[in-house]
Amino acid sequence: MLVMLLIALSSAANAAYLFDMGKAESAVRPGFQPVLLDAAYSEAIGFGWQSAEGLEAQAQAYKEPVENTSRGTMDPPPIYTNELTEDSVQGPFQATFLAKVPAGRYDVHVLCGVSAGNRSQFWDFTVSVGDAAAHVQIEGAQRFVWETLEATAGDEPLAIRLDPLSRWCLNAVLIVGEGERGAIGASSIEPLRQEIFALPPEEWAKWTEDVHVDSRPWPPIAPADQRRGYVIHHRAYLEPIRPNTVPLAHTLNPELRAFASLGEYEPLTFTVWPLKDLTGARVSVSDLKSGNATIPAAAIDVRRVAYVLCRTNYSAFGVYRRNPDYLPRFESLDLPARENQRFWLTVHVPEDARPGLYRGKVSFTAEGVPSADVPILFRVLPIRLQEDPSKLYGIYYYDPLDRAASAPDDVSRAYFERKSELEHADMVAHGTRNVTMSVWSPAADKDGKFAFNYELLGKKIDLFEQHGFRPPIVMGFNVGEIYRKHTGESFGSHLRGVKAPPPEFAAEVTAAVAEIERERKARGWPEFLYYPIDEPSTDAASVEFMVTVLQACRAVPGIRTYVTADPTHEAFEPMRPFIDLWCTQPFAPDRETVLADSAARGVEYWCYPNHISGENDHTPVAGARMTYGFGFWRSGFRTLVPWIYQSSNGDPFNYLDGRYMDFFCRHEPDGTPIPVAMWEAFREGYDDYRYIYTLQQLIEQTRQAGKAAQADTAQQELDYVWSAIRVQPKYKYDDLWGYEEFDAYRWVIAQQIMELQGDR
Amino acid sequence: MRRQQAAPVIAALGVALAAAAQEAPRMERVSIEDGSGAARWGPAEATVEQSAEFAGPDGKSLCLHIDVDHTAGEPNYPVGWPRMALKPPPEMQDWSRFDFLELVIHTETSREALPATPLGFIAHTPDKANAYNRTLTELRKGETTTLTIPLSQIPRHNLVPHLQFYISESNYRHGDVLDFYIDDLALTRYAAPTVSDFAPLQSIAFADAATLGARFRLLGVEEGKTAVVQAVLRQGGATVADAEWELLRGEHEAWLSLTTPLKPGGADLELSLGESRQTARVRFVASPYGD
Repeated sequence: MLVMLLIALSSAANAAYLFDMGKAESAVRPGFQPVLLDAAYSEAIGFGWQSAEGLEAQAQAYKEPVENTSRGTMDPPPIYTNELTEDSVQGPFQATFLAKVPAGRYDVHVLCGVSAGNRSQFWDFTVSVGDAAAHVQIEGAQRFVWETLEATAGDEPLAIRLDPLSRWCLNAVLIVGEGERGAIGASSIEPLRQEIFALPPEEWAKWTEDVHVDSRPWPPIAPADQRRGYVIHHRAYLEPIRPNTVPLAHTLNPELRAFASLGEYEPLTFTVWPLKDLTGARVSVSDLKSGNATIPAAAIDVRRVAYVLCRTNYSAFGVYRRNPDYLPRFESLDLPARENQRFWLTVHVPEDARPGLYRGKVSFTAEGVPSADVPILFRVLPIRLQEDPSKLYGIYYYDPLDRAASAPDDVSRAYFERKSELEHADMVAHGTRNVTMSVWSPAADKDGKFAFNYELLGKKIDLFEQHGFRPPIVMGFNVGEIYRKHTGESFGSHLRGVKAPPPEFAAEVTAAVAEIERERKARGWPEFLYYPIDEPSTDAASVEFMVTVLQACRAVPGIRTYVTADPTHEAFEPMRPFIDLWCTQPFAPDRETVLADSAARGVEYWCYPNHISGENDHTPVAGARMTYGFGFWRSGFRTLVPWIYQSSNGDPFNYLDGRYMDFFCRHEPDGTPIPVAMWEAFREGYDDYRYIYTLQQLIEQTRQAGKAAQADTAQQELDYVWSAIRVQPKYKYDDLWGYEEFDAYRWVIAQQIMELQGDR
Repeated sequence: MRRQQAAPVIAALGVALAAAAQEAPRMERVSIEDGSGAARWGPAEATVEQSAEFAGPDGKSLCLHIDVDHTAGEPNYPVGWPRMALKPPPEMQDWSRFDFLELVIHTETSREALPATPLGFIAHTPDKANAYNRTLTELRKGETTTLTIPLSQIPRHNLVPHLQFYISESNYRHGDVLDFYIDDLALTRYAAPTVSDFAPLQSIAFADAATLGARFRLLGVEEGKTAVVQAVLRQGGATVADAEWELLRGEHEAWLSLTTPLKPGGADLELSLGESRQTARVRFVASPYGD
């Protein structure tokens, strides 16, 4: 009846009709009409479902901290819900929500998502009103999508139609007359979006922005730039550009320059500083030409650099920075005045490109302003870079195949399987050749039998091998379940609460490893490195427990153990005889110690450099390149395996929700990977190391061919680069090379490669 | 009042100073802790007392004494972090008018040698989430170490309301005994205009580069006043670029325009301020982008 009154009193232009879908017991947003499952449409009521077939409701509110029993802490909830997002109506069949409104034009806002539910559900559906439609794709729970459709109401009720490929979900519908756009937008919609996609007001009040300060004076702006309404400038891609980074005079109106070898990927960036608001901005790139040779524009990926509110570190609270982060694709953009927008191009040099100097341009256009062409100068080198078989680039990985295995429908299964394929291909393109895995079973039953899911593991290993990844495979397995069976407790995060278990525990660990190892051999799988516990603490009880577990693993002949711990901590000394592979965060101990120990005992040293994956504020791009290339070279370590390719809690584009900031690469709604700047820097470091290794191989071949003088010259240049590295256990921000120096050192190496190849 | 002086350690130098003999620059100094303020520090899992051992001319030092115990301490973290913390008085929390933080510490221990990470120093700038955390790896058993940390390495040092020294017991064996004698914790600054921490932005560059940048700190200049820094790039004895920059006190990056083509090879970048000069070597390599 309230809705009818609104209709009677209001004209379309000045009305808003607000609906909160969900359960009877859930809270209703003030000013919104609750819509339950049984709200069937009638003319008398004026709103409701066309049919209740297949409709279900879900509710889970998150407002309070949640107990983390593993760590013994009270953590923020994964998301903060409000009255709209805490519940939803959903279904597997086509459904229509009807609302009778006066004739006129409206914005129909739909909010879609679920606050809790099956993480293996992929919501894939179309929401439409009249001819306006939006394709909604949401992975799992705790993620929401807001779509706005323009509609014209006539004599019939507005029909908000939901057509699923898998399932649909709906939290709220807001029908806003065109005359109300401004008022409702400012008073209701923007605050609502802030609550949903950032934080509710009371939580937001606990955060302050650490505003980046750039106090350099502005350079003079040329009259031509003033007239066109924007400035174009350039910095090396390793240097973060923030919204208010001041352009340098000598970087205005740049020429973009880079060099690369055959098959290599190479970034080029430029930045636009709008002097006024710009709408419909687009970037396009030409072919690159060298005589009659062409690198087609299709070989050049064009993205923008998106700013995200980032914590100062992954587990920090209370302070955020608006930092450059992920690199999404785009069609056109609206650029606000006086805020940098960087564009990131990646040239993929074809394997069969003709070496030489190529020229092209990237064009920037926006509505109502003159366009700008930025010249590109790109040198293709006659070099095929080689990979060092003694080094391994790996990464921790949550494989979507785990979700596919428990997917509730074919569409969801296909989504996760495709996502896994795309991510593997993305890793290959970025030089990654290894991922970690795990295999899970409950503790052994009364007959001593485990229930490891070898079929699922087999799919992952198939993908591993299809993409040319290299062993060994770090294999986690659930010692925690075995511990709980024999002690009745959990040992807690980092073995916080561990106690000495009975002897039966160790026997069962040995049995588990023995079975996995038997299966591995029977199926012809690559070597597994057995990884029973992650990051044990240095407490005496933790160390004693680790000795027990490692001994239990090594009771199986021929296997090797993998431990994530710092080998320079004296407290871990009792574990040392039972560890075959140390994986540590910094490059420590030093190179000489690492190489000596490896030679003497066959121990391997791996590194998980999380300080340049997710344990930062997402800006140590130069540190990432240094870690992956020149730093890795000097370290003596065998493998880099940071945590992690992708990890998200709550909204994957909200880095302030949940206990931790989201880690690393993002993805588009259909699962296509979105890189972050540091992922691109990983590849550049991988390329740096390939240049180094390629030259080392050529020096050896040249020397064996009796050309000692040429080999010596090349070695001197390589030694020069070696000596220029300022060795650190962690390369992050400080004491690194200048941003422009990395490519200059790479060029020194490239020149020697070409010299020894006879190409100069 | 024993002191065995080790060579002062100046953390994070720029390029080596010019070979020409120069007098040591005059410095101004303000102590945050001169060894007499034991009562101002709050220890945990440790004790702090005033001592006359390993002290400077004033005969005062603070002794941070730690008996490493892997079984006691906080219930959830028996292998913990013995520490002592200070809230400096308000007038000593703004470090922005100074250039260096200096620590003078003597270390004694029951161990044969200190571990690689013997003692940590934390400054909240301005809070725990944004703390400056420095491991004092330079400390040696039986030696007095003077550490001079450029404040350019400590971001947001305009508000420093909390200081702390700590060890990680995980780096030590149960039963180790440690005594850190803190003779002085002070802020210092140059008393006259001085260029410090000079380094080219690139030690290697392409010969067709349009600019060459220099990073340096201009210190010892009064608030609101400027000093003129001159830069010259020479190759083969010839001047190929020069510039003059009139600057306020603080950290600077400045660029020379390279309009004269450079040859592959070395070049010298010289910065001068008054009579003092500093030089750094830059290598230019043939450009990948020539036709």
